[in-house]
Amino acid sequence: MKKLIILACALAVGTTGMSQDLKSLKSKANAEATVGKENLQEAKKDLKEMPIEKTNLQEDLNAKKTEVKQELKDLKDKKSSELKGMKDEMKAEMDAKKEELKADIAEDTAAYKAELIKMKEEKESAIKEEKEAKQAELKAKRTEELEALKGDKDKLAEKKEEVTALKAEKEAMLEEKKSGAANKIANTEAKIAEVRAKIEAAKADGSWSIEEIISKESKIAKAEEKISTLKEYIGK
Amino acid sequence: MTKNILTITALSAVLFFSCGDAANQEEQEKLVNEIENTQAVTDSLTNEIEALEEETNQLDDLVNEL
Repeated sequence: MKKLIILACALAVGTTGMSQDLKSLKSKANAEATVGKENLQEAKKDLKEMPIEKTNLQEDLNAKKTEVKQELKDLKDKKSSELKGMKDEMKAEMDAKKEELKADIAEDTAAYKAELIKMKEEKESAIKEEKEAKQAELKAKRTEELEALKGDKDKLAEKKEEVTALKAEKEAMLEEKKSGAANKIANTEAKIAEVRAKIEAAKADGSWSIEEIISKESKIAKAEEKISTLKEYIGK
Repeated sequence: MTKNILTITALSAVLFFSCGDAANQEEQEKLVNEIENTQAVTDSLTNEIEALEEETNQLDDLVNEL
């Protein structure tokens, strides 16, 4: 009997100990679960923040791209205004020379005309040379830039994207110019019809001299030749 | 035996990386070619635009003279 009581006590003590152990294990597990939950929440928050960071980076990149594009545009504008300035300068120079020639030689002589043609050819050749030199310079600069990018796949891909965008821009610009030229052709054709009607009227009423009529017809022929050249460009 | 295994592993690694390098280089060359071709097309478009502008300006002058 005594032995049985001792056994029962031992069992009771053991069970209590075990239940306490279980309780402590449970509370430990709960604490760990809470920590785990917090970590999970933090990780979720980080994950949520990541796209925001990505968006910010993308925005920075876009801003930088826009900045570079603007710089390029400014450079292009500067270059085209320089070219325009050069052309204007040459035109003024030619006009001055024309005046000189008019003073030296009579306007309608063959010598005057030959001198004008020579001047025009010289001007065209100078513009062509200048253009070729600028293109060669640009090409050398480009090759140098591309050489520097070799070895960096990401930068090369970025460059490709940039040149593709520029190409698309030029394609759109060409279409725009073609459309503008088509409008000018239509307006010129209307103007030519108007001048032709005036010529016919002048022939009938004698309001223009024969020289004036010949001059107008010659100008019409030149304009028609130009229209034909432009139509070829547009049709390309 | 271990030596042989190590040698084979090392050789495989070298082969693997050199193949990767070659593929990468090939891809870069392709990109460079594409960039150069696109730039050439852009140049041609620019020339076309300039020629068209020049012809249009000349037409304007002729119209003014009419």
